[in-house]
Amino acid sequence: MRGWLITLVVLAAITLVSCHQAQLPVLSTGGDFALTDHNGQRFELSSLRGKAVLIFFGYTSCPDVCPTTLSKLSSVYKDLGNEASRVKTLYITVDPDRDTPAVLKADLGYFDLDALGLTGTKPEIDKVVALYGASYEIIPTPQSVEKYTVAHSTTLYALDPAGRTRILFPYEATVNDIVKGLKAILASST
Amino acid sequence: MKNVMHGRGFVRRLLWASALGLFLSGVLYAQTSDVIARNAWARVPLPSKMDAALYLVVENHTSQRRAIVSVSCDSAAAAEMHQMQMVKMSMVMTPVSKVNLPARGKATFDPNGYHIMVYGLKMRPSPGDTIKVALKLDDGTTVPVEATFRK
Repeated sequence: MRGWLITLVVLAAITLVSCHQAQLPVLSTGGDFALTDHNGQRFELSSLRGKAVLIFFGYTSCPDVCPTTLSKLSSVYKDLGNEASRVKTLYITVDPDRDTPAVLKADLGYFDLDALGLTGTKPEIDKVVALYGASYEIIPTPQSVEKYTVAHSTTLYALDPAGRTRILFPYEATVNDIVKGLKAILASST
Repeated sequence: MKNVMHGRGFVRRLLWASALGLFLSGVLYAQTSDVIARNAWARVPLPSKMDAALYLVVENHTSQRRAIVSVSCDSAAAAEMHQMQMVKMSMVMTPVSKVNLPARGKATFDPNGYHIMVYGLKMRPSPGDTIKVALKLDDGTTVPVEATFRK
């Protein structure tokens, strides 16, 4: 009788753990890449193994989406508390002409989060954009003081400490959504 | 020749000239109280920028449809109106030359919709500082706006 009980408990535990991990599928989007960071150094995504990673594509002249997302992520880091040190944010520019490493470093430093700005040549950035299923378009604006604007996708990608994409947060995701998602990623990796 | 610079007649002419001048400037640059700006705020520029986005609500208390046709800002080199739109999961910015104000209605400038962009601020603002902007309407009147900077 006791044997059956133990088997049942073990089976239930395995089911619960499997269900928990099944809630976070490994997505086919994403993968390793190399770009230049905001200190002008070569950066490889694989160097962040062991940390959860958030990836966002934007540009520093972006008036709304990017500062809104970065402010949101600042709140996420605050709410993560002790676990904040286990999360790194990567801000990949889709406007490398204007977003030099120095510009990225200065502007990201304005926000309270552990973020690294990334830039590169157009082919390098395009490769990462394609890898993550993101998109951007340079649109000339002759009627504006600005020569062009950049339309870009707004998805926030969350990777687990093994570098696998686990969650795609839409732009509408709240601070709470992102915190819960990151905690689930971190919990499933321990 | 009669000296126009002396006598009581001079004072009377001066007063009429002043009144006429004030009337003409009122006609040309009249501020309207029928269209009102509320809750105006602006983002402090990022460290590498001297540009700022402004947000506000503009209420039209008249029974006539109105439109904002331009914006100006004395403390910046240029000011424009823009509209953000989500198109197939991408956010697109478009400069706009007109924002409609429905009769007895309002237009909202907020993140992810319309905003006013000021370029080339003459001084770097801090949270709590204010900036004045003027909205010019299609009937020639202007709406004054004072926005407070936030981080």
